[in-house]
Amino acid sequence: MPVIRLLLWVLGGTLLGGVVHLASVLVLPRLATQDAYSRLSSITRTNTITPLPAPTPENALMPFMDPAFATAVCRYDLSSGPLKFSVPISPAYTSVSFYTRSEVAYYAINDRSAGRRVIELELMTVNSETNLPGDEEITAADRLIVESPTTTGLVLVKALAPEFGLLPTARNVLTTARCQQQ
Amino acid sequence: MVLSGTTPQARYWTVTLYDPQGSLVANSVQRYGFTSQEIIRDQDGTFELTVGPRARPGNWLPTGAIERYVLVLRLYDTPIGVATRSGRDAPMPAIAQRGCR
Repeated sequence: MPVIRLLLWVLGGTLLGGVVHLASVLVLPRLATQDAYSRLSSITRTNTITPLPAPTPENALMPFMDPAFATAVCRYDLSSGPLKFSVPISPAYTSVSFYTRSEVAYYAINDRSAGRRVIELELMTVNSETNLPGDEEITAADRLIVESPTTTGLVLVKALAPEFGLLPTARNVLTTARCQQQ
Repeated sequence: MVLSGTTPQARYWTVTLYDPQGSLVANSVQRYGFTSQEIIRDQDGTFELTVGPRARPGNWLPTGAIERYVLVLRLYDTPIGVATRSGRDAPMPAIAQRGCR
């Protein structure tokens, strides 16, 4: 009957529209051109630590940056091998967080969990880790190895300045952070 | 707008004022937020933070000319998480609106 047929067409169209809508919403973050990685690509080189400018009302690199922190970023690319990363502890609070290419956080460590005066770790992809020689003198258990799900991504280092006047101290701590290929 | 009380336990926390797009709010005293170390507290450890266009004694976050804003409280190195049941474990500060005087 024509009414039923019309209803079926309408239903089919609605379902198709729903699927297209769902798919495009899920894909959207990957197509974003103003995501953090893209914003940082223009001012950073790969596999080096770059201090980020402090946010001001006129000019902030990313929205909702915390003005009480000195921030530095290492935009990493593990295609040519693992990366060695180290940052000294700042007097108040230091945190290091790791993000995939699509800004999903997969690991974080702060100065308390590090337990020493320097946070030191190696960053590698899953493939590199399985290729680590098994008979090394220093085994994998002695060093902190972070596995990155993607080949490129971001390491964000933040040092807190508990009072406004301590911001230069926090920035100085970050200048000695290292992010380099071995 | 007045933020008062205590925050959940954390090694440090910061409260920052933003406009709805995520930029800091320009003001003449260049104050954009408070850290847990900077904020002035009462004897029992609670604090009171006033958010508004006119200067107030005590802790004051200037909103300048904007009417809509976002206050972000960030807790660093804290035992609470998304799964913490609110209440005793995560005492949040109270927000109240006070009239202009």
